[in-house]
Amino acid sequence: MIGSSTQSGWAMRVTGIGLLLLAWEMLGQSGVLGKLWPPLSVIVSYAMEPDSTSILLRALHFTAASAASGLLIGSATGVVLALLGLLWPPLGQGLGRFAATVNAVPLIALGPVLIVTAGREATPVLIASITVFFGVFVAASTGFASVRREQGDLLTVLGASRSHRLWFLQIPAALPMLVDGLKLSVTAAVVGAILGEWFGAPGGIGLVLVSAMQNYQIALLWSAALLGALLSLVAYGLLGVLQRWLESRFR
Amino acid sequence: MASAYAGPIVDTFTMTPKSATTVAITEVSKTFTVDGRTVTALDRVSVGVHDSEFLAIIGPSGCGKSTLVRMVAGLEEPSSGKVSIAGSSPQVLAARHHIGFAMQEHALLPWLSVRSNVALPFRVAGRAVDWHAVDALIALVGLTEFGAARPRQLSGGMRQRTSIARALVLEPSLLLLDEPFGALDAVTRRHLNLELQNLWSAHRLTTLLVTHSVEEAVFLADRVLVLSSHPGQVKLLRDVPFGRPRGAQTRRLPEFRLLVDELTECLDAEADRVQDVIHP
Repeated sequence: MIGSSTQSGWAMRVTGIGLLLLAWEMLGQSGVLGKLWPPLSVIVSYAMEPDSTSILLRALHFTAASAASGLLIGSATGVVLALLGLLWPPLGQGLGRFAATVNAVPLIALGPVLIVTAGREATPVLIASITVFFGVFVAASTGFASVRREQGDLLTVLGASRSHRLWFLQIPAALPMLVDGLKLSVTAAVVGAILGEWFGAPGGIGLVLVSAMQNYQIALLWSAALLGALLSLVAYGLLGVLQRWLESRFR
Repeated sequence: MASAYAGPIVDTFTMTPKSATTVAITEVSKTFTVDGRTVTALDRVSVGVHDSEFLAIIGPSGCGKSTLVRMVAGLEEPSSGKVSIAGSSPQVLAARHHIGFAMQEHALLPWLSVRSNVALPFRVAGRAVDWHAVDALIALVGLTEFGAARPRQLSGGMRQRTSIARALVLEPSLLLLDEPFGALDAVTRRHLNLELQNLWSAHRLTTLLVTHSVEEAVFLADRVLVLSSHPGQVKLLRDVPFGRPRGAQTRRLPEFRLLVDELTECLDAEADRVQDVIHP
């Protein structure tokens, strides 16, 4: 029953995406949307040409590396700060406000500042880290707080030390929510990296987008945009698999 | 038949004897502040639990019986008065990993198997897991086939069995049971009463049980403490004269029924009095 409903869910999804791509192709072929909206087949065959493939792959590699580093740095910072807040509650409240403030700063305003202060190379990673940080911090804090009262009581009566409580109860209890936060943050990491590249990084999908736009290379612009979307989707899908496994294991 | 309750207590002590564990609850009061008003949950309650004695606490809901056992567990502090276990504070006993604890919410960790849940107290105590002891207890509560199962795959009764095995695995010197069968259906509950009775008769550890079932209290305990409510005070302390081990036949004894009726009436009178206090 469950198997068949998931299968039909997948069939629906594949059909939906297929229809969308087909509509795109037909609209592009008909030319009603003008030259700026080429058919999908034109974009794909352009991307398959050796020259453009090598440009796109280099950009993909750069952006994926920045997004991955950003995801790593941002989530590590988020988890460590959530842990500190857990171990020392007065600090936790202040950290919550700090995280909300960081999240309230528009990244578009931060970009140029970072280019000047941290440099062109580091900016994509930094922006990706900042976008990831808030989501992971909130997810980890909520996860630590999701420990049930009776579970905490039990460990108290069993005479658990602070570190045993953390290791046997709080960390495992927080894992599913933490990965949920990571899953939502990974797309933000890709967007953050591309945004950072936009401000003048030496490479990446963001740079290709800017240069293709300025040079009116419509097919390149579209392939770079699609590549960015694809990267996000794949990363999201991978973390989704991890999340489903953790859900079944830890809840 | 009569000797089943009046005969001498059968000594089947199998565990390593520990130093005597007595609980002294002395003049314990507990007050809460609700909307600026001070509510007295417990009022100068004094009771002692002897070494290797099973004491059951019953009382109308809201009489503070759970609060009392939570104070013995060191989870709450009395507003005045003192709880001491073998001469120390509850926290000292907890830090030595000497308390076994089971409550209405099983508090099993959902990411651990039944075996690992039962083994948790060893890990928390920083000791190597004695898997032999873990498996022996799991067998004792009839869950051998479910050792690898996770809590959500079990029925409510199986989860409570697991949590009782967990409470016993470190051979605690004090066992605290806060309505462990409160959420179970009547049949499962009687079944687990019988199992707990057998387990207890074999181990004889100092035990405090909070329950709202008079029959459960009489079946399991050596003495039953009845608390009144608003405020919670000691109303009656009654010896239970039946020998051990007790079985289904114990429940059928006329004396058993009489004692259950007596205590039930005591609770009913208490409930009526509370009605009058609240709606004079």
